[in-house]
Amino acid sequence: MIQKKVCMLGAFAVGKTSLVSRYVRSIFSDKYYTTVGVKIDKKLVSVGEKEVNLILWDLAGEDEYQKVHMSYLRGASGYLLVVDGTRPATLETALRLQKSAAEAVGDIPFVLILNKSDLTDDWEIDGTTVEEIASRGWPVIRGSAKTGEGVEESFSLLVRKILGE
Amino acid sequence: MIELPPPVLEYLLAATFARRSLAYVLADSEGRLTDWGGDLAAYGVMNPEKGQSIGELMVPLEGMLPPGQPMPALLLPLVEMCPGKFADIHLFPAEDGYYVLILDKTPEVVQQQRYQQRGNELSLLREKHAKILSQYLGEEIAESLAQGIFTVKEGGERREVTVLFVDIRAFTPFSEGNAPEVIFGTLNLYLPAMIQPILDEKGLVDKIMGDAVMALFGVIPIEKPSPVHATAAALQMIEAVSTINRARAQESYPTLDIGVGIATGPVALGILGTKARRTFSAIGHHVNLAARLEDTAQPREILIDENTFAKIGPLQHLFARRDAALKGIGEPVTTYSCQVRGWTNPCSPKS
Repeated sequence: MIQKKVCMLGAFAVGKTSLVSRYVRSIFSDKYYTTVGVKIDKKLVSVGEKEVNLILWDLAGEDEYQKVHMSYLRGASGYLLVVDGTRPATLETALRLQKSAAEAVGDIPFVLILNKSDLTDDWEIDGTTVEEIASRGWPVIRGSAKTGEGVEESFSLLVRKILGE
Repeated sequence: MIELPPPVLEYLLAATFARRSLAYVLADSEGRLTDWGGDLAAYGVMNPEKGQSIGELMVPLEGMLPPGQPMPALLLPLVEMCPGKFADIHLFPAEDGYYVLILDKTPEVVQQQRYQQRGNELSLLREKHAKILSQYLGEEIAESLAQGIFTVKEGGERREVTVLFVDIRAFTPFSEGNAPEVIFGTLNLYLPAMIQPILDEKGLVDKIMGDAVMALFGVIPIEKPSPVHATAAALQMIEAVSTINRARAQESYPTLDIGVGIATGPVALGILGTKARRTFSAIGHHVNLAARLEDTAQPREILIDENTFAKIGPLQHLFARRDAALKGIGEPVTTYSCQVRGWTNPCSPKS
């Protein structure tokens, strides 16, 4: 069976752990629990005729006091870049992390997810910004770990890109 | 390599690896297991077999080998090896393949989790606060009035407010004797205990300066007189810090105390800065007075001026007059003190 390592990258409290939890176990909790180091989950997915065992590395988010260790990306086939759509600063963090990831492991596939789309009143990332990111050729999906919107789609797109489909 | 006498080496090995559940595996360049040892069972590895892929043996090692290109030593810190068990993974080349060393770091993760949780919650709180403030600053006064969030004229105005200063006593010597991660970890533990009561009492966190916080009461509309809210916030702060100290004392961590200064009176309120970055600001004698009172306050002491004392109603019985010489304040000032002794806070609103 094909095994593929995928990392979750983003600032702290953007919802990386919640996205993994929604994708792997179909559950969501509103309570915020910070991730220390790395938590690893697995999920078996089918892409056409192929079965892929995804190994999901949920990395601690970048905060004021700690940077993301790029050594975690060693052996990764792709990554999900997570942004909190209600906190524009997390987009800047994601852009910086993408650059560091590309320097560390090269040009591997990634998908950017604008998480927390359910918080429409607090949403702060406008269409122009999304268009600007998309114009770089980056796949951008708006989603929510809470409602499930865009979650399956983000991971599926990433797996298809990893498999070159 | 330094040559050390065997007893020194033995001591260092014991001190370094005790309770670390050291385990190792040796893999060939294709990532196939050739040798292993140590406490692999601690990480959920029960029956390793020669020739087995190290990715199958331990999920976190999937994809690590072969390296593709010459690989220097690699450290993967704080990786969850199996539920609730975290370890540092060291990967480095040897003559006959690659060694993977695994050292248990679960206790460090448990401790870091506590610090990091509080630190990140505080950062989110700060962001929320800044968002509210910037939303106001970017809008017309009429709109702000309609929202009822802030009621300060952008061009500046003089208004009676209550100014509160709080800081951690003896934090400078503490910071000089400890590593940066300990300093910030400790700060992030204590700062929420100082900030949350301000927000709960509808105060405005004006500045956070290292281990000190300045807050204003009476800017955001409130029901009671601003000195009542400020004094209640100070009492809650001391209570919250006492709770942290009790928990830290049980684990033999150093404890810290805070001192609070409060003054009430007219100050000039206004907006400073450029369009890109504007900050709210309060200037005047009572700002300086509150700062001096905080400077003079002893650990676990709330020191307030006469104006504040006159307007705190039933809370007055917690305070005793204390004549204090305040540096930089010309005229004599009558002050009142609430000194909390021991771990139990007699000023607790609950008591």
